[in-house]
Amino acid sequence: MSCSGDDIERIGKARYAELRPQLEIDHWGQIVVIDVHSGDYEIGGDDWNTTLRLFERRPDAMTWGERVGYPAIYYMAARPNILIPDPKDAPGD
Amino acid sequence: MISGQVVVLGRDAEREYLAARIPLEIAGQDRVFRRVEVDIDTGFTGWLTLPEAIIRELGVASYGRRPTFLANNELRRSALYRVMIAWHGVIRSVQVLQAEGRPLIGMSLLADCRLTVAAWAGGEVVIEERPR
Repeated sequence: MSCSGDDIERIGKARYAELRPQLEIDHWGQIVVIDVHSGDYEIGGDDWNTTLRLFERRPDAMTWGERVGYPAIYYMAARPNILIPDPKDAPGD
Repeated sequence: MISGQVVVLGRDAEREYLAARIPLEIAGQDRVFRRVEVDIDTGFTGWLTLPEAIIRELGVASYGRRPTFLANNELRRSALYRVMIAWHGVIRSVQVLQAEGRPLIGMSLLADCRLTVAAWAGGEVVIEERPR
């Protein structure tokens, strides 16, 4: 079953909102991976292994992930296109 | 041991902007390995990012989305894929986030490795496995 990126985020966040109160008590800082088709989910210490465990039960899972209590799972510090000044942005004379 | 080179991404009046770059063999559905030049980003907590064009070439299907926080404080929803890479002589399956710009490898892939960078243009980049 295909699913757009918007659908994955919307359904995944709605399911996470249901689970969140209890997850924040029991699993703060851990990863929760949700199958947006079934609502089934898996909890673990890292995204990769948690996702693989969910695939064992749900081989066709389309997944949304959250780190419980945090805004993102992944952080990127150094996107070269952000760091390098564009000559066009240089102040004019 | 995996080795690469420090490259100059750009320069202004005051400095050069450098990146530590290595070649990485990556395969998708067809199991045919392609060489992709990837930059090392120790501030990236994941394994690998690839732009849409390379992901399309690899022919892999997305299995989800993940919230990703960028350096400019933007919270983005990144598409998630799985590819195979050659890493220290072993074929590994790793998670890929789609992100435009240069392909990046992050700290999850560098776990249990020693990274050495001679941070000048043309300097050597070496990734060694942790001694057992």
